[in-house]
Amino acid sequence: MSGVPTPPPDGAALAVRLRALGVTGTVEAQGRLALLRAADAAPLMELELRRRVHAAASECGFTHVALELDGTGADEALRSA
Amino acid sequence: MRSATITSGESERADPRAAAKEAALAAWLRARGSVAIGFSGGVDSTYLACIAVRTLGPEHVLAVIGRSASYPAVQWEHAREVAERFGVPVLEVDTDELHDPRYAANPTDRCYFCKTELWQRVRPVAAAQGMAIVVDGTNADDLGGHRPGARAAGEQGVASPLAELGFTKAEIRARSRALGIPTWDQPASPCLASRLPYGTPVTPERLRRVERAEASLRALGIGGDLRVRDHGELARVELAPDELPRWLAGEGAHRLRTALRDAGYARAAVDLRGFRSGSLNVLDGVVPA
Repeated sequence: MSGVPTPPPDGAALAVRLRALGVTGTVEAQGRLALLRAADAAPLMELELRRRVHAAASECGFTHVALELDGTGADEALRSA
Repeated sequence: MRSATITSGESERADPRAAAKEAALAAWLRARGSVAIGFSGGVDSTYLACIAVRTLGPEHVLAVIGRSASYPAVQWEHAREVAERFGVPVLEVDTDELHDPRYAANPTDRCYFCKTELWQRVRPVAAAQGMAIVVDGTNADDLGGHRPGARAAGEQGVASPLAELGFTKAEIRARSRALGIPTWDQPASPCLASRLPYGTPVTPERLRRVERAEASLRALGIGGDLRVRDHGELARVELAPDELPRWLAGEGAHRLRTALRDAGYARAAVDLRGFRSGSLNVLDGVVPA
């Protein structure tokens, strides 16, 4: 770890990485916290995907990544239930 | 009310190393004769208080609770309940760290100012009650990491027998369970100020909002470790790993968001890695990731 520079947080780069993982959405950088607004949050219920998301976030300079509950996706899921 | 009685015997045979440390703790306490304990109702201070009462008798033990807006009300209730159940004498003091601008500014050594205030309140009370020494529940696992509160304890002459005798958290939980102390599996519950990133001023209003939010999430049925990290208008929730899937999508996400909105947060997010002790230290660069 020592001597390896930490990249500055890059939300745009993380969004690209997440699309490659099948997670489509936007990333808002708040310091080293990445706020993810996903089009479909359901796949993130899988532990392995969350681990890969966090690994991608770390490589893009973030220490934390959180899924924002914006109400839109959740509400639509309820309406279609 | 009849106090619960702590017995051992069979539990000692099952866990001899921790039992040996407990015997050493009893000897340490007897050598001092009387103790005042900084008592939060958490796993460590409860175990210490119970062993102290068993070893010295309640007349030679005083558990002191420091109350302020940063001390969760639910923890205070649990502290009073367990103290009464095990016959631990309790005295409460009000602490005023929120009016100390050095604390309220929420620097990375915030805990130093908080603990200094606490021990400066506890020490005269302990002396007035004839207690020989003031102790805290710091354990051996606490000795690393970022712990400015420990510096304050040292400066104020507060001893940490659990750390001194090498008790790990796991051993304290195991001994607590063996002795029927109900806090054995209680999640850690640090003060509410730990939910605010460094540099975010600590105010009673922010602390109450965090407390409301966490109480609301508990009311939803969320168990295990839970933290609502306050990022201004955003609440970032850290959950135990096995709780995470329920709250990321669908009805769970809707209920979570509604609860946080009603608590006063305009935005809500769930941390995808889940609960991490000291995660704000990492976010703020105080310790490496």
